[in-house]
Amino acid sequence: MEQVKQFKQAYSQTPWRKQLQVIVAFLLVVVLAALVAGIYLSVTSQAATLGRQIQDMQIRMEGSQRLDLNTEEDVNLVEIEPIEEIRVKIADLQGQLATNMSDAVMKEKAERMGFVPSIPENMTYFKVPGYQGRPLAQLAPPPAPMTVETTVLAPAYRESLIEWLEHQVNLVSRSWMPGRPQEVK
Amino acid sequence: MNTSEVSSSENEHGWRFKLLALLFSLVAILIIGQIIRIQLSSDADEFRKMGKLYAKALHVYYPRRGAIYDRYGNMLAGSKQVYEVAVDLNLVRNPETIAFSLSKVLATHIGYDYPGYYDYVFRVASGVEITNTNYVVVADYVTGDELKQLSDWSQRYANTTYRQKKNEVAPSLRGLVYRPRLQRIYPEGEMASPILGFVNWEGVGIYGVEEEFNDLLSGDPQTFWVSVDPYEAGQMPNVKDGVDLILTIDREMQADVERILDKALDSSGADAGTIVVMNPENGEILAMASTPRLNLNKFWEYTDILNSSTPLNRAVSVDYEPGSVFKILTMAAALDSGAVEPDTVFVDTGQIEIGGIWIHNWNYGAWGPQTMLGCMQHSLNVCLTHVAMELGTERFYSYMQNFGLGHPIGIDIAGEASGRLKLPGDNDWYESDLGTNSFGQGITVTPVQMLMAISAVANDGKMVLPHILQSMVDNGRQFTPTRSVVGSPISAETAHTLTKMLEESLQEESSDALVPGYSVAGKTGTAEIATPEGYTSSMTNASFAGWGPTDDPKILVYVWLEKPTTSPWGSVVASPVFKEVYQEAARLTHLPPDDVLASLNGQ
Repeated sequence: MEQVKQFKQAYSQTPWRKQLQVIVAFLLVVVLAALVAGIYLSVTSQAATLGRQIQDMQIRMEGSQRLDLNTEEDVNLVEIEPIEEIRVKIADLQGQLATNMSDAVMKEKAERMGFVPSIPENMTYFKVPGYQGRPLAQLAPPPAPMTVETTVLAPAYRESLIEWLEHQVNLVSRSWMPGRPQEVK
Repeated sequence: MNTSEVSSSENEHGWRFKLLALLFSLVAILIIGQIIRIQLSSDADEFRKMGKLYAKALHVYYPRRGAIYDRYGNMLAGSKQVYEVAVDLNLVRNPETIAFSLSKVLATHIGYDYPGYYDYVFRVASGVEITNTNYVVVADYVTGDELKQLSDWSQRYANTTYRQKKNEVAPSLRGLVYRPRLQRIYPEGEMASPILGFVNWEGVGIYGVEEEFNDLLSGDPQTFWVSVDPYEAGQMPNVKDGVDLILTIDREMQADVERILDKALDSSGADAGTIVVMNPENGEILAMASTPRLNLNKFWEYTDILNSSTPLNRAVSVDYEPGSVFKILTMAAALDSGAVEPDTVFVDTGQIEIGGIWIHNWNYGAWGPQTMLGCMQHSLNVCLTHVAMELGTERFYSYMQNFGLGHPIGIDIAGEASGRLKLPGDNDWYESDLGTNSFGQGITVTPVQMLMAISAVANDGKMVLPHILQSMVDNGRQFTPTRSVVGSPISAETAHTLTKMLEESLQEESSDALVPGYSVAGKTGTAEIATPEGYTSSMTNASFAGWGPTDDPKILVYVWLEKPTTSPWGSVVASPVFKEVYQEAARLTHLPPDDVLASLNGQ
């Protein structure tokens, strides 16, 4: 028994054992620090990349672009087209479409296709049941009707304890005051 | 080497290591000291400000200007993509190339086609021109084609190898930057230009609907600081686009009415003219033509077309003495008040005295006994003066005020003139004004004021406000304001009686205004124009106001031709114009002739 005790003591007191403890502790700290640093680097680099992408989009839409750079390459830098840029394109295309369908252009096309302006003598009128006439422009739905939200929950599910107490006190006080309207259930 | 030798060598070189350590420590201490000194120095705030200045850039976000449509959704005003070209002074290498390229590519671009443009760009690009910022705009509203040319030039410069001399910089467009933006376009060119107005270089609406609804159309530009630090990339402000407007006008009718007006000016030799078509039931203006017109896509030419005294829209912005067309209102007031009946007889002696002056008829003749119908049919000034006297001063002006005269009616088009209705008590009102006002002289009105007043006669006594805005689209929802009657100056019975009188009047005189197949009522007007030397018969304003079908009016037309030369009379030059306009309006609104309508309705 005494021998075992001595062996344990000798083992625990060996110099290499102590060094190993120090080294392991140090390495543990280093590994942990590296882990934290790695995670930090990963997160911050992702944040920076996304931030740059957002800024690229903002600059592309509202900032200036260099003329001496290849525009196509520039565009490819940002895979997602900003919605503002799409809106500008839509507005531009709508303008082009309207120009191509202007009154003068359409009349010219109609004449080219052999149509002639209608004159009163050539017109025939007849009633089309259900026809309400040429519809006026409806570019968007009308405003939504005003709805007043009504709750279907019983007071017990929405009242706090204090509100419930207050309500009960009010009820009791009303019942003791003659001439006041009573709550009807 | 034994232990004592190693120890001696360490002692020999140890001071060197210590010295190096000392030096490095000193440098570190100096750096840290300098950092602390700068932080605590009086310039620290200035440095911080400079840092912030470079850390963020100010951007202004301009929303898309709302589009304008006609009643059926045809676009009348929209946007197209253009570019703002600027010089970034931090990047410029060769100012000469930039100036040369820009001045060549934009040689025909409005605003940059002047000889000194090259010098200007060169001064800016070389930093000679003093500016507050490194970003200097040198060209705006550059088209996509022009930008493409500049881009091609830039690529060619970049791809060409140059044999450079010493201190010579290779040609390059480095430093030339651009950003997209939207410019107003008008797909119909000059059509409806008096109604629409235009947007100037600064993006502000001028004249017409563009000016009246500028705040709604332009939206709300927002300023935003964009950080250069990617960790501070923030969300762009949600810039709400401008509101889209839908007008009451019908594009096809507008084009036809403008064509008819141009033809009328040619045939009558008139200086200018105005035609307005309105639905008398709700005040919707279906067409409004006025001269001169302007190609809105070249709005900068407006100074060549309009001088300081010529407004873009005569129907709204010019008041004039309307002449006999005003008799509609005098007779309406007299009938409504009971001062006269349709069959009241007046013996016309050819002249009448009021307030010390003598009033004569247009032909200086005496027309003998005339009913009120005859007075209107022959447009007798003497009779209408008598009617106004029977009505009385107070009641006459009370009715005229109820008709909305003497002040702007509040039409939704910018630049409305108020007209002038002199009232008893005004310094320049005389008793004789009652007589002259009764037949439309000595009083000024705008065509839209007349339309509003006459709408009471054409719409069962209920007066409606002429308006151009049908609805607006905001935040994905279309809002249509409800229009209400703005007054009832006369009774429905009076309105019907007068309409029948004026229908009969046109038929009996076989007026050029009569429209085959349709029952119409109306009145001509010929007013002498006041000059510094007094009124002259050689220059007149010829007008016609008419409406139909008389049983249930759907179309009200007002015609005004200024200074016609072929004939001074409204009955000769303005009446046929009404007829033509009414026919077109009936065709485009699918209004069948009276007999067809009756048969369709099973009557």
